[in-house]
Amino acid sequence: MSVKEVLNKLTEHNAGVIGCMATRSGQLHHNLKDAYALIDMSMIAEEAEMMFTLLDDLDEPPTDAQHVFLEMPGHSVFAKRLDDGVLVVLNRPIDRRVFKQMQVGVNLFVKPLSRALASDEAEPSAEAAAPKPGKKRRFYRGVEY
Amino acid sequence: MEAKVIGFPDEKGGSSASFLSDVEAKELDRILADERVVGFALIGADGEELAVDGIWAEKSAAIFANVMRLADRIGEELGEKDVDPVVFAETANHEIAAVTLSKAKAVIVRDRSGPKKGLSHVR
Repeated sequence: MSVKEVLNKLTEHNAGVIGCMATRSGQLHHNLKDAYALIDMSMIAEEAEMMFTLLDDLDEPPTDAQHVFLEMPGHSVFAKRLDDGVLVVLNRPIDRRVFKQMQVGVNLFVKPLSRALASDEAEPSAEAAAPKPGKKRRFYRGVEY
Repeated sequence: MEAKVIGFPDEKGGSSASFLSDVEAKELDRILADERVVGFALIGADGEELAVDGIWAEKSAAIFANVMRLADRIGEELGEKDVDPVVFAETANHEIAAVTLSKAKAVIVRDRSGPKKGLSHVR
């Protein structure tokens, strides 16, 4: 599954989730609808990452904070730390007790998301994948090597 | 944690109690009486430390003042201005709640590994 597909599934399978975004190595992916087109998603992801950095500083060794949940009148926001980035889930306003119950449904998608993010990063760009001039392409059973 | 923090004298010889309404002070006292609560901070409107006790006492006020500022900025970006988000965070061993009161912000740190007060221990 691609990152986009995982984010879409996470949103579809969890009632109350408006949309979500994920970063890895600073690269942002999201599936937020047009109503949220004007918000600065990179900024939100950066602020969430910064929260984890601050929370780590509370203790030595670092606290390794795993997630942050924000309750607001119009939205609630769940930020979960990933290997090299964050997942930010934007929800309708729910309190933390309700979110605790649906957190299992969100966590189900964390591993597939991490895998998709890692493979997305490992995927060579079109330019890099293009054959170099003068270099003969070699295949073994249809797979280029 | 003892519920002594309310009325804890601050550096200026005042009392943190003056930053709390009677209802807030009572509720905070009740929360702090929970044996799983291992840390507490009371932060002023400008991020200054008003009272701290327990775990991470040296850093918690400064760090949570900044964490709450970041939460405010996320809220503002989502169109929620001046709403003071309630912040919950979880580490491997602790859960943290940070909430804005009438004149101050309170941070409560609770041990996740301590005795549970739910029904799980009832036989």
